Amino acid sequence: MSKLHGRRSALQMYEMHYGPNMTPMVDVVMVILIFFMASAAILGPEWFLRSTLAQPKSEAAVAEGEPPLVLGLSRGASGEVLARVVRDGREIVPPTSMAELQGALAGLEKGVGVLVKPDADVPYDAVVRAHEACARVGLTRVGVSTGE
Amino acid sequence: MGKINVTPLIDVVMCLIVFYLIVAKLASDRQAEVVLPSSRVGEEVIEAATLVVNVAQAADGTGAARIIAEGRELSSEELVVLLQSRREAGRLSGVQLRADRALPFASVQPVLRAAREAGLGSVTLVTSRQDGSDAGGAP
Repeated sequence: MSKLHGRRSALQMYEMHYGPNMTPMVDVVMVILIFFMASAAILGPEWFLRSTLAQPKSEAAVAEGEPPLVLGLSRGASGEVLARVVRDGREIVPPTSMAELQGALAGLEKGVGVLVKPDADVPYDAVVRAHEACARVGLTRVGVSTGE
Repeated sequence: MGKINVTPLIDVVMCLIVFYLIVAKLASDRQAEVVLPSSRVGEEVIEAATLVVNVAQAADGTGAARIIAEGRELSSEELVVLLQSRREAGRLSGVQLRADRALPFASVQPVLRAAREAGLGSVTLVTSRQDGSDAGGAP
């Protein structure tokens, strides 16, 4: 047996009898697997909503040329958040609760720019929910007022 | 002959170093205690070279907000300087805003204003994914 193989290394003997060495590939795959599992646990399930920043001189920049819908958010008498939609100073959606906002926006034409304009005391959560309502009815160009 | 093979040791140590470097970076981005607003729509992938800006409630319970970026607390003026310097260096393509859901909009507005002053046209609002979410419906 030893004469047949001559002086060979252990690796050569292994390859001769058992084919390619799978160990490095298994090592790498295991590391990648653990890395993605760990990063998924750290990052958590998150969504990213893109929001245009309104420019100071013309908040109509969100709609580039056409007058945008202004989605105003304010506190009602009992503290709940109310949304109303205005175009060119004309109210097209009367004050509506956040729960009913998606239904109220459903009748608007798609592709028009929307500027979310919250009052200072409105919770940030309501701003995100307004974005979400717009996205769900197909209004994809949504901006947020920077207050100037 | 007769020597210890240190290659697997180097492999393992390198993996650990890379892993801890990445975790440290992610941990510094998410240092603040922020309860994100939830949403059912959004994108899953964002562009590279974004700066994560956390807006958290102050620990003293006064309702004031703290702006935290790159692991340290900043004023809105310092945030503008940071964003402008990174943009001029070509290391900023966007801002990820991680703000606490209970904060009033007035606490979040300085970050939006800073991003605009730094020349950014948009920001990315980070939300926690709600059950029954749809991908790709983001504005």
